[in-house]
Amino acid sequence: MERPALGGLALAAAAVLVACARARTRSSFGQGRQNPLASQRERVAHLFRRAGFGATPEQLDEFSRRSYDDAVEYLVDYEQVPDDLEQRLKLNPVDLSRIDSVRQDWLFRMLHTKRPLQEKMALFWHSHFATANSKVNSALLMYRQIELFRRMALGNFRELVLEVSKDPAMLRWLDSNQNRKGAPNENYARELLELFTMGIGNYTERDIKEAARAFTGWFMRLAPGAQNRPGQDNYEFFFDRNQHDFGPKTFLGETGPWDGGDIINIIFKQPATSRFIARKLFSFFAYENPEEATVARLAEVFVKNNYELKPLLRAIFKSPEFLSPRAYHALIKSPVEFCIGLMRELGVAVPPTDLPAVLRRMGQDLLNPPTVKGWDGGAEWISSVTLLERFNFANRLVTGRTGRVESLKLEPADLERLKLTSFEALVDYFLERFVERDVPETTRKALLRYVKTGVGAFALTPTFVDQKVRGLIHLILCTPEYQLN
Amino acid sequence: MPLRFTRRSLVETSTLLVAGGFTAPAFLVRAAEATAPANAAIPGGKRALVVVQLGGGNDGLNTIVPYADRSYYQARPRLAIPEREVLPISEYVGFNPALEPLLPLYAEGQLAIVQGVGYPNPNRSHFRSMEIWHTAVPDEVVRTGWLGRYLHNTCCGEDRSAALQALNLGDSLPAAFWTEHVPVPSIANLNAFAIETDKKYQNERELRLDILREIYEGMASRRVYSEFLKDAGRNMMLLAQELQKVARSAPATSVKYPNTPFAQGLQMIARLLSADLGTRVFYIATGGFDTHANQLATHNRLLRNVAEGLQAFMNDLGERGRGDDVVVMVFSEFGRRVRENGSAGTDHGAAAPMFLLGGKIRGGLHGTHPSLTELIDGDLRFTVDFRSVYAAVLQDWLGTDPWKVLPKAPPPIELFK
Repeated sequence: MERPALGGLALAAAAVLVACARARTRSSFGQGRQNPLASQRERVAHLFRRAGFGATPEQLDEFSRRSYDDAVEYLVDYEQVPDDLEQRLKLNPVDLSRIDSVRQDWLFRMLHTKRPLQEKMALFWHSHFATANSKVNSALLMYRQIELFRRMALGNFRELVLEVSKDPAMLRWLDSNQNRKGAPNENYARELLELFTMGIGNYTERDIKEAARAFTGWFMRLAPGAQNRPGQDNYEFFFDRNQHDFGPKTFLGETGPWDGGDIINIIFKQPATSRFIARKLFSFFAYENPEEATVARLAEVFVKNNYELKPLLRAIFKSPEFLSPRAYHALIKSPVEFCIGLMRELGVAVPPTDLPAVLRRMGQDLLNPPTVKGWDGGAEWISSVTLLERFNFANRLVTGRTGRVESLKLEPADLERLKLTSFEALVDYFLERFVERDVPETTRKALLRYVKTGVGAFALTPTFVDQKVRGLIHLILCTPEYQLN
Repeated sequence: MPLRFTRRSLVETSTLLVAGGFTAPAFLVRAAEATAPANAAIPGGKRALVVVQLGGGNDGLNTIVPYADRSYYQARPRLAIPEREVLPISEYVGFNPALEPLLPLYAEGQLAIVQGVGYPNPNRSHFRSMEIWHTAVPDEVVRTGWLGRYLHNTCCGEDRSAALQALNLGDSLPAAFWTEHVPVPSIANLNAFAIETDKKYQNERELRLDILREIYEGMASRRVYSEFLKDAGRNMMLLAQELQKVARSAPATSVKYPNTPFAQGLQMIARLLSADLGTRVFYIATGGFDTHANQLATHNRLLRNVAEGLQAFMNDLGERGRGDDVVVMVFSEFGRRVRENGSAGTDHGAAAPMFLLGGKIRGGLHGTHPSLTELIDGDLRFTVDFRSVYAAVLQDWLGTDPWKVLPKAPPPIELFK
């Protein structure tokens, strides 16, 4: 039978997971896992959830045998990992005149990349340098900005800030191309300090005004051969000497004829910058509200390594905090993490064409963050509306069966291989698979009631598999714990 | 911005359970059986508050225009509204012509304009200033919103099950509703709000929904967000049941709403008000007011959108006989700089007017207009603290002690009949 690669792989390797689930004692239920991240396998799974979109069963097997540090290197030093993504994307090339096509291209990358941390970081930068197409109004420029984030995903942060300051989508988004000598527009300067580098409270209104003067004349113009219409509106950075204020400025106590690059250099002399970024990255990957000592330690790593991102991320992933119980299931999945992770787990290889709209309804309108502050994440991901969208998207993928949307393939033979012999074994297998059994006893009891209701003795008949096992999977995907990362 | 959640005790959770099944909370029973009025025990009766947020920083000077002030025209050579176009309110100020749909309401005394609203040491960051308006605590960062504190401290007390005490129209919950307790639901669409289950096995639908409720009524796992997610899930399931009822039953009126998300959202509020679910606070936001460049046409469109939506809403409430039960409060996180910038726009500023609408509102101009020449860093100096407007709404409209919600607020101003 022809089956999408991920689904086949996921189910073929399932027996391994079962063995692992059996090894764990029943006492792991109660209020969920007592001692998470105790085994290497769990640590690897945790790492891949955070630094990627979840491990495949093969990756789990491989890195459980090797070392945790190998797994970190595999993710962080991703250039070493061969990837056939570009080849696969050629089959369905992006249409740079349509913003939804750019979104779909990105989602396909996240689903199939062999370098998941690169896409995860692109996602992080997209929310950090949050630029919205609602104002930029150019699929091509948005695509190029995401390409920039992908290219410099784990490069040097100072260089990234400089490149972003010249990025056409950003120039338009924060009005830099309206920032003229004698009539400065403060929009970019303010957000550069408040949101992109130092954080509020580390500079004065006067610093913003002076920084705005330094960025005057940082404009853009159509590149040679480009035209101002969808798909061909390729702009490039352009320094307009006539609109630049060459006069002296005093910024954060330093006076000189600064331009934008000088401002960035001064920003990177401030201790606030390394702390701000270290805190944000740690909170994104490990848990919210980190201890000040943790932030300070990571900020020091960042500065010592001249704002290179790879050493900082290694330090985060190898920190005791990252592998502590406090970090376990401590974050709420973003809509993108929820959908991409779900598709990978169910073996759905082709994202539904309306996935961008689904994500918008879940509160993450990709390439259109709500404000320049990006998505707050955490509790903000969850409202009645967005939770309902999650339930219903899961239902589509699990019980869709036919139609244009690819959904879960599930045959009795797949389950027979697992040698499940009771309702309890069935429920525990899927709880292990989707939430590492980190659920309270009441949830397990409710699920058991579900699979038993209206059914006689345990038997993997085609009807039972089609009705009850699909139903069980949907219910597990709707648990509070499945919303956690 | 992460919230801090308190973990509710297992004992408290289990009081919501009856024999492992699901019990409809009090308000659902009330709504279904239409017995005693849902709000009988709550001060303020059937009164509701609708908060309208203009996101991005609305240009107050081009909203209520000081057309008699030469400094206004000097500061804004390209952006000033010409005197002949202004719809005069007093000898000094008048409406931007885009607000013309609000004139009948103003004439009937149902529209109050509070001038020069702001707070000390204004912050010009969108996020911080919006947070200040939402938390109503300007001088420190707190993790609860003023409406969240109202709902928890004074409105609903221990009746945690009342999922529809407040409702946000939109996708994400504004900080004004932040509490450490039951999250306020957000909805975007009345009709599509239902949990879907396997269409092939419709006969199992009720069983699956029942299992979901059992899971969400059960114990919580020990993770930091577990309780929060369980509360959110329970609220969602209650809301789904309630809204399906409203969608099927709410009567339509003859009022035509503009086809904008803002106006459609207001219409939804009107239908929900009619359904009498006991909702005390509604919240709706509309954005785009961050007019740094080429402001004139954009701002005109934004103001017209707001005015037309509010006009339809107030007429609709009138037809439904609820005009005297509802107060609408309109605010933005700040006004804009007095002097226009080099790109025919305006940068972030400070004080600006607020609007309040409703049958019980004392219409007309309130407060004093800030001077256009005695500026602070190029911005208007506030004359009314926004917390005294909130305090008026809390005390004179919602019938509660404002100091329980706004510990350090100045006294309320007189805004109600």
